[in-house]
Amino acid sequence: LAKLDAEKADAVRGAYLDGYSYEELSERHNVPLNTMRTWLRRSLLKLRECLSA
Amino acid sequence: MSDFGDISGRDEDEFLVAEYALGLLTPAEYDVLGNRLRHEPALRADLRFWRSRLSSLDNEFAEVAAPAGVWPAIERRLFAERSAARTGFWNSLNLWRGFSAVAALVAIVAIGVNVSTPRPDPNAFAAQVVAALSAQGSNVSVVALYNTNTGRLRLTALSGDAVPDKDYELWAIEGSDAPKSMGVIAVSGSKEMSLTPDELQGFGAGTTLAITLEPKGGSPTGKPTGAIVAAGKATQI
Repeated sequence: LAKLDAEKADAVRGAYLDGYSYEELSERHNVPLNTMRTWLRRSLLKLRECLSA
Repeated sequence: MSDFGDISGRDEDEFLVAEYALGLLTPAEYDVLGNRLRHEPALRADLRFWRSRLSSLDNEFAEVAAPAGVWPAIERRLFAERSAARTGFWNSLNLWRGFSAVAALVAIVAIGVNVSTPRPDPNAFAAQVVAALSAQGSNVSVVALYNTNTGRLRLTALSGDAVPDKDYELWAIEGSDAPKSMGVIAVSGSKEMSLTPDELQGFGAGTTLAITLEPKGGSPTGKPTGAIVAAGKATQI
């Protein structure tokens, strides 16, 4: 998680730890919902690479 | 999804699983994936992967001591509200005591009424008195059924012709007493009537019921004036 952008890591944390939905995340980070989904998926992809390594 | 040009197929599934683990799916997507998870072991493996890896995030919850003012504030809120509310109408002890007393009284009365109300006697249905009314030379034929439970007399005309400007009148005769009028009746269809206390007097098995043809509106004298067109003795059945 430390390897992610601070903001993107925060989004993953928000979803996992705080149970935010995409709607809530996109509002919190002030980005469109689709962008939020792309963000999060990229972060997950990165996360998976880091985690499986 | 065109948003993810570099992401497709197998990866798309894996994202869905990750989003499932994160609780990011819409309820509809959640259900669809839930179904697929039951049938696709590969997806279940992905889910295990994400759940175990994401659980490392749990450590990001740091234990934090609550600020000093929190506990007194909670107590204040709980107990201040409770003692304030205690004086409220709905929390009045007398209100609930009174309410339960009233409820108990209602229950007692209801049980009492229930117990003291006589159940219909199953044998009572048979306690009926029947009379078949007919006479030679007349086509008037009536069955009278008296229900001793309801005190109602049902007259069913089996045959008989209405006569212009005349009415049929029903009489009850007890032994050698004068016939008692029970009113004008029709000789078609079925009709139920309640007997008046006077009519009920002595009425029962052994009573003779008779029908006479009377002027319109019934006998003007209170005694039968016309010919008897049908008669029969009431019998207990």
